[in-house]
Amino acid sequence: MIKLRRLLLSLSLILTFATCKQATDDDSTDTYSNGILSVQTVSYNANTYIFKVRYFVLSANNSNQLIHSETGGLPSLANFSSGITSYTFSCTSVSTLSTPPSGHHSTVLLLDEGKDAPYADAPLREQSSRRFLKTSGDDYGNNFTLAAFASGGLIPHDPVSIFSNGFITNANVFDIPLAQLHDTEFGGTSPVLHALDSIIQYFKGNASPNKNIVLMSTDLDDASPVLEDSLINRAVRNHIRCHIIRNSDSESNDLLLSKIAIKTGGLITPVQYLVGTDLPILSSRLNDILKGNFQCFEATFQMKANRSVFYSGYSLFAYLQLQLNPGQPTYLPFYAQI
Amino acid sequence: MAGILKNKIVLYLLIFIPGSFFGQKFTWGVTYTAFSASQMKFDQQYIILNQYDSYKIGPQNFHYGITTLLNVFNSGLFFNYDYRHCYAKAELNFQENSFCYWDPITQRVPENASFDNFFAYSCMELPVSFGIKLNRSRKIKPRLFGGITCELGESTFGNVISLLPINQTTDHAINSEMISRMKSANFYAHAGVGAEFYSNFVELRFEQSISNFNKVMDPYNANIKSVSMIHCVFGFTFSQKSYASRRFTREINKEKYD
Repeated sequence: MIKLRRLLLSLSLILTFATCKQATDDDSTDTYSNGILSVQTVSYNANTYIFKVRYFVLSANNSNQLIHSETGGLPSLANFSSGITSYTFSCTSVSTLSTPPSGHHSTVLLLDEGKDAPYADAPLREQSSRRFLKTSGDDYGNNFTLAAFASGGLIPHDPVSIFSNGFITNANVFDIPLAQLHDTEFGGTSPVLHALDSIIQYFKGNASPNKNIVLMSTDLDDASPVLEDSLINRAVRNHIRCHIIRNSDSESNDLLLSKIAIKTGGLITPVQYLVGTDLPILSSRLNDILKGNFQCFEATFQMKANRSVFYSGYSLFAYLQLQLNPGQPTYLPFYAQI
Repeated sequence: MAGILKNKIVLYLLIFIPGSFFGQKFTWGVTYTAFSASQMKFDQQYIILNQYDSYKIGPQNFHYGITTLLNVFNSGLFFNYDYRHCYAKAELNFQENSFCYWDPITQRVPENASFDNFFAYSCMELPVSFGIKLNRSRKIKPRLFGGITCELGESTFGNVISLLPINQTTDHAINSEMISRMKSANFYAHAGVGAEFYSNFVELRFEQSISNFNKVMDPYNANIKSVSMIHCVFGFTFSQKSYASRRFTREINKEKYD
């Protein structure tokens, strides 16, 4: 009887080990797409600032749905010091919730085709743009258009070219323009703010309650004559959300881009074109993100300072750290303001 | 239209081939296309695939080559029926053809040595030709001919006669998708010149598509506009005349000499 029990115990141990090994193998091959959806102030006093960060981690192994909350562990923020002030962060809770429904969307997909947009990224950018437009088009009720910008080069209009006559519902119209954009190597600088500002103006005639600009940015902006604060104000006044998909392989102004995204109510997500696994996941779910009712995580952080520094107007730029792959932390830039 | 034409050609072959076995001026043999040039034209510069990808179409000029089993292949049987200066000929050929598109990374037409960027399809060809022999008294008889070719494509005959070594899964998927957009029966008009020597012949044949190749015309994607082919065909006759013809000739000669 004892022998039988030992045998069963051994068998169950072997089976457990084999199952764990299998699970480890599956996890190691998973790929993710992640980003920050919003940052909201909960409360503050002179020494403590409490804010909530909504973020998502989509997993390819989970059919591009949100990963289980325990997979990525608790998100964290690195403590830092600035002069004589030192700041500490602690994550008090993480919960799963759904974003409020926003209904069908009107969207401008804005592609950065500047000289620093690596040409090798073009196929991935083209495929992902097409995937997003087609999933939006298949979902009856959305309308959208495609725009691209690059100062000089072959983009015909300055600062931005729009590839349809108004907002349309047929994504196939953009098949050939996207292929041509993919095929052409553009020159010139990337006036991101100027292009964004023009698209905000273009939205003026659109009565949709869910207006979005999805910017695929690859470059630093060193050419725009537009101030970021006036651009953000104009977007907020017109209820336009600016979502930013930035190329994390190239140098870009994270503070500027995350400020625009968070303050206008948009998402900001870094994508790695060289790896090429996150953008396809994101593009297949972007339509769902824009429509709302999208499952995400909400982490509450408590930020403490050793001096009285938190006051109305205080702003914070930081990177949310996730441990998705062992030894390879993922950093998501975000901007918060009291 | 295509369905009616297809039925007519098949019906014609069914009547023509058995009938010609008992005819007086019947010959049959094999054909081999030694040289082939083909051209496929599209109405857009880019093909957009279902996987959200796009391919740039290369220069739409004639793509040519000496036919081998690995490249372009066209061979089969022919059945010929002579009537005075005229003749009718039906063929049954297996054809493997390939059209190249640009490599999107290198932005050029791939080398002939690599088949990775070739869009290939195999089919059965049923050409029916009518022609005239210009000078019957000489050993070498020039001839002019024209007719219609029915092509029954890969979707009809499957991959049984697929000869191209397509190694990469993705390329095979692309080829399959492009083939799936084509109709399984296509029609060509053909015309050419040739020469006959002891019932063996060589022909230079030009084929031009006359039917729409696309199952569905997509205004936002590349559709096949036309296909043109030039074949240099050799025909080797196995039987000069049928048994009935030879017996008839013997009887005539017997009467003449008796």
